[in-house]
Amino acid sequence: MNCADLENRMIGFLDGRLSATEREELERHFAACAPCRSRAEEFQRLWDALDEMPAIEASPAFGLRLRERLQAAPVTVSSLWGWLVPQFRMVFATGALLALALVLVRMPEPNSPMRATPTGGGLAPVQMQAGELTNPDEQLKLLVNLPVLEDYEMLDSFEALSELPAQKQSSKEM
Amino acid sequence: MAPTDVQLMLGVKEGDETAFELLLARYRSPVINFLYRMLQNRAIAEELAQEVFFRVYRARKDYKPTAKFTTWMFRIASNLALNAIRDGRAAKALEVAADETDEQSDFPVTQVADCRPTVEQDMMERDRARAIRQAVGALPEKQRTAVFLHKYQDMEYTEIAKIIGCSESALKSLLFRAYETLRERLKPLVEPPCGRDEAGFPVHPDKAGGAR
Repeated sequence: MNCADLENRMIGFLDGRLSATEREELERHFAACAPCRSRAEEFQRLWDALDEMPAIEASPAFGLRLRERLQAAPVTVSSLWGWLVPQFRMVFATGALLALALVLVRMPEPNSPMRATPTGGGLAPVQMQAGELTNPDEQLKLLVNLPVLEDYEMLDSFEALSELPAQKQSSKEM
Repeated sequence: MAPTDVQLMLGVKEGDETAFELLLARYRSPVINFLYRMLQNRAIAEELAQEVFFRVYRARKDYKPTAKFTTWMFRIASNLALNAIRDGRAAKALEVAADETDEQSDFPVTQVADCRPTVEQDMMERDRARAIRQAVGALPEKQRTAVFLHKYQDMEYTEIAKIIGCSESALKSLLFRAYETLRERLKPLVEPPCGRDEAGFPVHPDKAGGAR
């Protein structure tokens, strides 16, 4: 063993977890090396001095306060359900916010020219249909459903539709 | 034969309140003192100890004896202590400790190296305790946690490593750096009391336990 090994063995030397062999090697080194022995003795005094750090006892009311708190605590839910519930809340809240945002963004204003002019912009196919409807109730129903009908991106990437290639092709052929 | 921690915790899981009382009796003092040493504030230590046992109890239904109970519990305690330090709840106590540590050359622990008994023994002991508290309190958080778990909880290296989130070899290195820093900061406490002999070995009087 040499002086550099002291670092590796010092913690075990302090807490007494060195093997008998390691300890013998260390003591042989100390017998021959005054600086390492001096350093180890300082570590040992430090180790003993740390016992002087004050300790405290729990206050008499500790147990009582804890029991009161435990009794007041709600019953815990199981792990899976406990994990899922916040996820559901998050999904629901996010979905509701997105739906609201879509409605607010896509809903034409009452006097908007889009409502009177069915051929305007990218909404033409749907506007055409709305324009063809003469029943005010049907028009209103269609307008309410516009955000869903107009979300072509969502429909394009809707996996369920990709499972119907045959129908699409056949409709194109027709 | 006393039930193991795992047996008690499984009892708590099954609704055995006595098992929880036994766990509380077994670990109340170690947890409070760990937190007290970390935060150097009795009131905050008690408050956080309550939180530790509350969380242990609250998580009883999910408890699985895959890890050692004390590893799990002290990990909770350690995280709570570090959060308290970071959010400033214990800042005042630690600032005082750090400030006074900077002035450690002024604290009268050098008198400890003097072999002559003095009438100011009590005051010196208080100064020593304060100096030690300040020096340890000024260690980086991770080193401080490791030292307290190693020195006062007598935990295995693997357990401490799991609590602070590092490898066993990294832990040993961390501990060595921490103790080396303390040795330097507390030099007046740890130096040989009465010099060295001709061979350079420290000569100390009848203080077999070191500079106490």
